[in-house]
Amino acid sequence: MADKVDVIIVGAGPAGSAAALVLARKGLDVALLERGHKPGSKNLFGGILFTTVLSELIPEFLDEAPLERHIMRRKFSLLSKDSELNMEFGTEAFNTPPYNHSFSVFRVPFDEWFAGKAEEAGAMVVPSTVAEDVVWDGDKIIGVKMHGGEELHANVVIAADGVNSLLSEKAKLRQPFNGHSMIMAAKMVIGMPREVIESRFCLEKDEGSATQYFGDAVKGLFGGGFLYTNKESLSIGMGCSVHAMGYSKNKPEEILDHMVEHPCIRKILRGGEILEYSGHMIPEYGYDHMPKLYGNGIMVAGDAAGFVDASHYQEGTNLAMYSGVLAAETFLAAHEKGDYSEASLKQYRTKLENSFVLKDMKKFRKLPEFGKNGDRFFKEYPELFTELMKDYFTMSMQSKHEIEKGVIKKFLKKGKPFRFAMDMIKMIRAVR
Amino acid sequence: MSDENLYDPLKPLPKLNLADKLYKVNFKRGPEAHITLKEESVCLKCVEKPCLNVCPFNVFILEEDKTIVNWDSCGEMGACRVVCPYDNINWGYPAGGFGVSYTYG
Repeated sequence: MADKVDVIIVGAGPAGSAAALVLARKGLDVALLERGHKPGSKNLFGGILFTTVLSELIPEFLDEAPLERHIMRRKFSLLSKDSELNMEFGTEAFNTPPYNHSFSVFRVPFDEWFAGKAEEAGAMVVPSTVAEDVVWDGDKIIGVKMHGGEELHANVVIAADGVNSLLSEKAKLRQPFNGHSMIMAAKMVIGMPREVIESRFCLEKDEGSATQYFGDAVKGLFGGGFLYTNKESLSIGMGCSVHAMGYSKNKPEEILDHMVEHPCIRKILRGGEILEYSGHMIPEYGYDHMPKLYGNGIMVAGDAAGFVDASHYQEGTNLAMYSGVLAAETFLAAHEKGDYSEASLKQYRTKLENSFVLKDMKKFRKLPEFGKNGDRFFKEYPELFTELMKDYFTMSMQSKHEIEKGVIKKFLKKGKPFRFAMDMIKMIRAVR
Repeated sequence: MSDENLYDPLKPLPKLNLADKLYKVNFKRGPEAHITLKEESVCLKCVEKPCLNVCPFNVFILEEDKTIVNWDSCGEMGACRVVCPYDNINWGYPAGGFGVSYTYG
């Protein structure tokens, strides 16, 4: 007879640990399974950890969590081969607690710390354990089967098993992935002394900055690059659609090399030392292609459910945490009634729809389609606009009036204003 | 002595080839292959072979005409399974505690 707990949570990432923390605090019997040798060991991101949810779960997180820098400056950079066109926003207002709830972190220590909080609350964290399949009783899911055949049973399984989520597939909740809306990312951590980072990025103390790159950073492919400051290192990386990458002439590490050798980026990285290389996939299929989020005895949370806001906010871990919280709350209500059926767990979807998780996913639902057909935004427009700026600022014996006329003429010729206007409308619609 | 050991904030970032990059990552080789090809012959008729291009860990390589799976330096990201036009990859996770493990992430 297999052991039985109240809830099995598969995956000790932000979604799974948040769910485990909430349930363990209510005194429930929770098993948090993690396939790595410790929570966090398989995890990485190219992002900002937003902490609006974390701060409610663990109000003392500012003192306890292994945070790197608070992000008080965000920069968007269009690159062509030899030029950059930037927009940057920074504010002192983000320099006081809670620091706009935006931090750079390393996921290995952070996820380990977060899972540790769930464990302290009473969850049973089981590392080095791969849940390979769900266990059915008729049309109900009653547990998971480990690598090796051992079973663990529960009233509900929460699949927080990450982007590839084999469990939601086995639970027949999802369709095969589409390579256009799955992003593959490669990243490097580059060690650099604190004072070099702070002088190079104009930062004081634990202030940090985040940059998103477009255009030549990734050779004009459907995707982009990122650069975050940590305390004594930089996180730099690129992301491209799996489809674009697979059928391009470049390999991911070549694109990453191209990016770090770009003149506008290589100067930032001087004096650095490569500490780590990593890769991960990001589910950016959006609101319209999420798996079914619940079934008889199962809920899906975090990356496994595709909860990623792929807009300029680039928010994932926060959505993951809140989906974990809502899955836990749904379980608590179901537990009270003793009803773990699909009809009972449907509340999970309702709670998500009423929260920022699915409201934001819905707001940006057109992004995947836009990205797929957005070639001009990744290649032509960054090239065109940096070129127009170059023309505009190039000194010559021409009068400024003539220079301006030349720029406008080039825009009308190369930019195809009508098409450009339509593209802009499409882009605005995709993020509105 | 001396000068070479001094930290130079203006020294270009050293270039590392993929093998050197992978050397910075811990891979604990599992007891069995967690990624295999369903049918080797299917890969022979695949013209584009996007698996060769998509993987940042270079798990898929071509030896003569044959697709080889270097699963012991796999980063477990799953892009190969998504990109394979013939759905010809048996994709799974390494046994618990094995496979890639990061220091920073």
